[in-house]
Amino acid sequence: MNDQPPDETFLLARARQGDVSAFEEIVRRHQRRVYGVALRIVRSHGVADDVAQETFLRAWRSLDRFELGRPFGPWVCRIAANLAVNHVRSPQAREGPLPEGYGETPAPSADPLGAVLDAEARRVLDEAVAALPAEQRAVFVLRAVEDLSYREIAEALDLHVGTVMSRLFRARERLAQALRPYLGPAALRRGRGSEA
Amino acid sequence: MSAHERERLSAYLDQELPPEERVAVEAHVRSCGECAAALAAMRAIDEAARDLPLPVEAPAGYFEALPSRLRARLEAEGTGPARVVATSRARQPVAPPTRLRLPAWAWAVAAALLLAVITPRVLLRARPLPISPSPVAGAPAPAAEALAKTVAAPLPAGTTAPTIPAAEPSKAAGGAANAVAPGRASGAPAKARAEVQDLALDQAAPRVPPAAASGLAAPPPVAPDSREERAAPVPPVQGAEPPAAFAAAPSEAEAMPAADALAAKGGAAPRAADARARKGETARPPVAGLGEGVEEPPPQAARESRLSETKSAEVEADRAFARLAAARPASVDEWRALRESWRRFLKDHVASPYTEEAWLRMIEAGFEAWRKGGQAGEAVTFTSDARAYLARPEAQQRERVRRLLAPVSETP
Repeated sequence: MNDQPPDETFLLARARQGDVSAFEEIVRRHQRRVYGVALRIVRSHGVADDVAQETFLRAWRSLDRFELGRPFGPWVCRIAANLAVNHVRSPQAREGPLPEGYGETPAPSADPLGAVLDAEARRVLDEAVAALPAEQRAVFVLRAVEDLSYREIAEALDLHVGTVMSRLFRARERLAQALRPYLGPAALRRGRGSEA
Repeated sequence: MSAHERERLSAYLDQELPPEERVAVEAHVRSCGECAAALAAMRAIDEAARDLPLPVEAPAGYFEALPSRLRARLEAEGTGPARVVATSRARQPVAPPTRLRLPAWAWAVAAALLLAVITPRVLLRARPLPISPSPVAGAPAPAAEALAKTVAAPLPAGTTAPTIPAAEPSKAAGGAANAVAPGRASGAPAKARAEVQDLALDQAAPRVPPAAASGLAAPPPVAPDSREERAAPVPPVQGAEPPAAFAAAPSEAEAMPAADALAAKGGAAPRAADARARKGETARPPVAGLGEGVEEPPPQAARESRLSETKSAEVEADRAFARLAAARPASVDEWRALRESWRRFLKDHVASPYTEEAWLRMIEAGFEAWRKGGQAGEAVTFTSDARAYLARPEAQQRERVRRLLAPVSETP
């Protein structure tokens, strides 16, 4: 019993009633995830820090609307994603034209990739994610990394579900193109295998 | 393959297609190598992206400091999350607090006495309490804040909290002393107290070692029973010499030897304590959660039997408290049931050190039952409970409970 962590429902109930200490513990539990969401979208520690703090401040002010018993993590991550996208919204961050070769299926390369993308491919992928328009990147991060549903992403970013679907597809197209040389048969086989 | 088809593949990968479309895509992918390859590529990219490290590393200590930075901002804003204004002292969510507050010197004397009596046992026994932290009490940071806001940053040992004010000597002394040995002070001979008073006042604050803060930061939910040599689950800190009686659980096996030790050495304790106090050896790490009920200690001869009588009831209270504290109610019915469980706890454990905490939890559960949309009866019960609490002379969180009452009272 000594290992049993403090109950989050009680922490949230107390935080909602004004217990700053309880909320501080909530922050401690979720800060890495919130910071991670923000950082993957804004790609800068300074901005991610601002976003993380603002996220928790807004969560604190909005606790009244949070339904106890529901998972807090996705809720606060949606706040973080929304703020992160707002931070990076700029003319440059808006969606640009589709990349060259749009509409083409990435051709499987003869270069065997092995079971996972190697370090070089990961570096390329990281750069490709960074190069995505911020709004596409946000959708992609929330889906691929945070595993949010389209509806949750739509709520977080104030979009229609159809827009989420479209942006996500475009992001994947761009990433696939960037990684084209690395998407060898092995990776594709792996992808098929995990589908089953 | 058109863009529309690939977009459908993307949605298929995310299991976001309606059933009929999903079936169609599945059938198509089985017969189309190009689409199968595109789907596999998307999946491989998603998996790789999931495993990507963060683009940059957060600076060292960032996550240790962020909670307290936020806390400082929240307190500076002074706005609460709901209809309740937050204050850092609005709540002591941790260990059952002391009923009787004595001056710092009294606790320092008590510490000296305990040190003299129990120190020989210190290194021989140390075991954790057989109970889990209560929901909030187990949280290190809230614990630190609730017990001694300015004593130490509510962070793990070895970290810093830039936004927490530096310890104020007087408060540190009070907080530490409060946590040291409530209940013992009244047991110290008046002469000894008088003799060491000035000395203790001088020494209590500055002599609280850093380890004391970490001790405060993780107080036991169970605390505390000053009537007996109850243990606090604060692990022995090297060099801090926690007395054995504080480091050992009040288990069946340990309780009696502890009593034996006291009985055997009780006569020498005051003198030893006095001598130690004069030498400035009063400092020992404060052990949080020992602050319940200050009473005159029983005669040495009666201590053993008393310990035996109360032991099982305390263990039962520990268990019952932990069990209720771990509840995770979600619905009105569950909050209501929890409220009634706390009510039974209060009835079954009248003299428990958890009394104050159990009252608050019962009231909070009632508040949540009402808040979750309970019937008018919930408001009546909550109001009745809250007013009963406010009528208790020993109630310590009146303002907080009044704030909970306000929105309920305003609702027709």
